[in-house]
Amino acid sequence: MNKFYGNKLAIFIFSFPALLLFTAFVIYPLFPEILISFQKNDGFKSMGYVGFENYFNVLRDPTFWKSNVNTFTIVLISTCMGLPISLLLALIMDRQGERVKRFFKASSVFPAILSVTVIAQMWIAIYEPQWGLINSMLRGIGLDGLAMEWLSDERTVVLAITAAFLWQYIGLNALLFYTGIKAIPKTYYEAAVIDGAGFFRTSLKITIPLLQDVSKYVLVLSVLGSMSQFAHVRIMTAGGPGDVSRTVIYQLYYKAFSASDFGQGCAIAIIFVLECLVLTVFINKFVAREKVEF
Amino acid sequence: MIKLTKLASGVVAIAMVFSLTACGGGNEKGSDSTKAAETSAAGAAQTSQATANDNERVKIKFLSLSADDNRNNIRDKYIKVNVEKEMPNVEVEYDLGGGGQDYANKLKAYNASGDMPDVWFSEQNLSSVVVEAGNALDLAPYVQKSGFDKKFKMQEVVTPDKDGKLYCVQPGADQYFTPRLWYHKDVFAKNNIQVPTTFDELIKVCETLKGKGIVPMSIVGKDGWTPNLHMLQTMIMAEDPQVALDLTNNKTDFSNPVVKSALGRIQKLVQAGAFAPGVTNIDYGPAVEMYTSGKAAMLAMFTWETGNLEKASPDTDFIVWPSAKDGNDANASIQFWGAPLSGYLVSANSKNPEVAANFAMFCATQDALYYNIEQKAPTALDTGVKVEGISPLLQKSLDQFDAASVKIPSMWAATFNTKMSAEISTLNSKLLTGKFSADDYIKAINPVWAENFK
Repeated sequence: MNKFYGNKLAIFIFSFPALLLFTAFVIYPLFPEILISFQKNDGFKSMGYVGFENYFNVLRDPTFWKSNVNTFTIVLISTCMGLPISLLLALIMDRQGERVKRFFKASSVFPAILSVTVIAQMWIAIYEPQWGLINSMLRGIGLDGLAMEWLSDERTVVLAITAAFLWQYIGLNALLFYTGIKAIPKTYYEAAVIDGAGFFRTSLKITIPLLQDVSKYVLVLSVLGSMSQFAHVRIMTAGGPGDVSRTVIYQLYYKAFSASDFGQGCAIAIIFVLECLVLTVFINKFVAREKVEF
Repeated sequence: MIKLTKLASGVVAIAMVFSLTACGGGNEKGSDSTKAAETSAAGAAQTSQATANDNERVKIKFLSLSADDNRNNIRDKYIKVNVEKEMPNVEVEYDLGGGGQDYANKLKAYNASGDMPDVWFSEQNLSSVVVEAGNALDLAPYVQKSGFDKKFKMQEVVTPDKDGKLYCVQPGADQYFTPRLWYHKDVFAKNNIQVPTTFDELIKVCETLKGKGIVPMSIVGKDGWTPNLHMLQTMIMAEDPQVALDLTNNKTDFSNPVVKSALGRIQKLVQAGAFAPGVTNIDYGPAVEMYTSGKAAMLAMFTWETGNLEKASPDTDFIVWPSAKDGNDANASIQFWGAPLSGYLVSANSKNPEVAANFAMFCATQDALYYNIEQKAPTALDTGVKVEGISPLLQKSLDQFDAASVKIPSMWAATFNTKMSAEISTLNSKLLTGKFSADDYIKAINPVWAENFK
């Protein structure tokens, strides 16, 4: 078997069909996009090359910077709040009996397999200012002053969308963490128990350190997923009120498809790629660099 | 290996991002694979005489919307049926384009290739792109030759543009759609509220209704829909209709004081609590439902909802949008929805331009017949059919429509290009928050407006 995997020709032959499709349908379309970013282009025809004008226009546009702030707010909340909650859920799930575990597993995956449209509509109803769940609960306990127009108020709209996004994926991330936990050999825990370690100590000293590969994987997924946030925004607020809740990808969509300015749309795409690359390099450089072996 | 992994993850990240815009790039034909083009069996049941003339028959490819009942009925029950009788020398290949973005993508793909169908139906925003690309035929000579232009009650619908070109023939149904302020007579009577005749009275009515816990006015706030489609223009016309006309003809811009006052009036309505909480996120369906369910006392909406509103809320009536200036008679001017390029167009590259032009005029006539007979709605194109059985509410609207001496096309439908539409949507949505000043609005929109007619 090792001999087979060492045969470069065999590797090439078996991976060629997939590589061919990937090149034709994913890599090849990149090049026209780069060209378009230097053109005045309405999506149908080029009206000539304009150098870096599209890039300058994008960078001068306050909405682009606002969309960046919104995107990084979502990334920050997803990683700094969402991932610890997912990890905590996974740790709790691991300590439950089989029946509870089964329930946890099913309910963790359920929101993630639902259509974004369904999730977004559900949260629109939850946030509805007059009869929505949140405001009704707040009014019910006498906190009328806290009842807000969650999706129409510029102070709350991005947080409200992030909550819906988090809710959808927090369970799936918990399940990924749980899978990582199950891969840790039981002997470590048995030794820890003999030494008198409790839940918090074993979690802190054994589980979390040994989960670093899974953590890195979930972190990358979470960061890239949050960076490319679009569907929830499109359905829940259409980027509004005004342009307040636009993310970078939404701004790209708006420029290319609503305003028919594909030149600026592609320029935003390229800037966004650079942002993603910086984040990827950062994660690779600073997160979980040492290989953990059980 | 680690480097290879990093490289691979970088490439995948780039690819994922780029593929989003790549979807909207040049090659859009592939996305239409699910939309089967239907080839008509138009000649299948022909008479023997028609069969004898097969060699002389001209083939016309016709692209039509196929996602809404009106368009399907017009094509299947009128065009398909009557073309056999009225244009026996024509064999039509029907290309069903779906609706919405699917239809737009299909038409855009045809336009990008330059290989348009002979005849197609499209709205202003799509038509203007085709005209700009030089792919639409000037129909003015054919319309004048056939006398089609003489059949219009509103001549502006078939008047060539400033270059003497006419790119579209239409049935003239849209021209009768106008924005109204619908209200529940019962709610007004129960709360002892008089119908407002001035803008200031309207504000007072809104304050009174809000004080009683009723949503005063339901509007579609998502994407700034109601201000986009009519409220901004309505507020301009409430003070000086000429300014709205000047805007449609590019004789003024948004820094005009009347426009500024109009923006201020929308802001005043927001601040008076005229709209429902969270208005910037209310879509079309919920807005209409808010009114028909009785949660809102008034509804700002076009007359295309007349039938539905009459059925759902029998106590419905409408008022003409109140005037905001002494001496400006609100009944004297009216805003209509139709646009010069919403209708049937012909390819500039059609092999049989005259037959295609005649088929386009035939389609417009069948379209008008459908509205006259099935919908009992009038059209600017006179089909010879006397429309009977019009509901009292629609009749009241039509009487006021006919009595208005100044009829101004919708700026949104007839004037704004794609970029202008997108930007004004954003600004109108901001305006509905009540925290966006008229000055900021004007500062943001004027540069886009300056590009609108280029």
